[in-house]
Amino acid sequence: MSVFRAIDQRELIMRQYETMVIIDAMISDDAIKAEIETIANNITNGKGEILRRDDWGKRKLAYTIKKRQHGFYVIFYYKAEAATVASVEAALKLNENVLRWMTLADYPMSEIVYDQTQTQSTEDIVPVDAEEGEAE
Amino acid sequence: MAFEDKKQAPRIRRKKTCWFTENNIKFIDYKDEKTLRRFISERGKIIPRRISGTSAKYQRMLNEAIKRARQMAILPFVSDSLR
Repeated sequence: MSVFRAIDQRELIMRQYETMVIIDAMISDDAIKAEIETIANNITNGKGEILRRDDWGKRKLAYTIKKRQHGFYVIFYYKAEAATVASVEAALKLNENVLRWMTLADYPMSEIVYDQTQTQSTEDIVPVDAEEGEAE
Repeated sequence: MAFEDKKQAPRIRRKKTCWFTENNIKFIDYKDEKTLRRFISERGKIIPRRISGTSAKYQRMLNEAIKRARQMAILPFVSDSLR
C-alpha cells in the first residue's frame, strides 16, 4: 500500500526536467518543425510548463544511429509531473523520426548554447596530457 | 637486473593541477563538448586522473558527463578515424 501512496505523492510534485531529443535530419525542415511542435504540445498538454527550448540544429553525430550521420538536436527545459514525462517519453519511443532522447531530472539549466561555427573544429582544443604522456 | 641497483636521478615533475579547480568550474555539463573534448584521448577514451591531474570530485563528474555525451552522440565511443 505504501508503494502506491509514494507514487501518488510523486505525481503531485512538479520537478524540473531536461529532455534532449535527436530528430532525424534527413526528413524535411517542415517535418522537423512539426515534430518539435508535437513534442512541445505533449509537454504543455500534460500541464507541463516549458521554461526554455534550445535548438542546436543539424549536427553531425559522433557515430551513426539508425544509419543516420546527422541529427537535429533540440533540448527542452520544463517543469512537469512525473506522469507527463512518462507520456512524453512514450510518444518519443514510438516516433520513428526520433533517433534518440534523454531525460534528466533536476539537472541544472546550462547557458551552453551550441555554436554552429565552432563545431567540428576540434583542432584548437589542447588535450590536457599533451605535454607529458607518461603513464605510471 | 635488480631494481634497487639502478640509481636514477629523481625526475623533477611539476605538480599537476585540476583544470576545473583552477578555472573555478563548479559543474560539468554533458552538453559542453568543448570542455569534455579536452579530457578524452584521440581514441575517444577518458584520460585518467593520474595523467590529467583532475581532482577526484571533478573526475567523477567528468566521467558522468562524458558518458552522457557519448550516449547522445556528442562524443564518440570510438574515434572515427580509428574505426
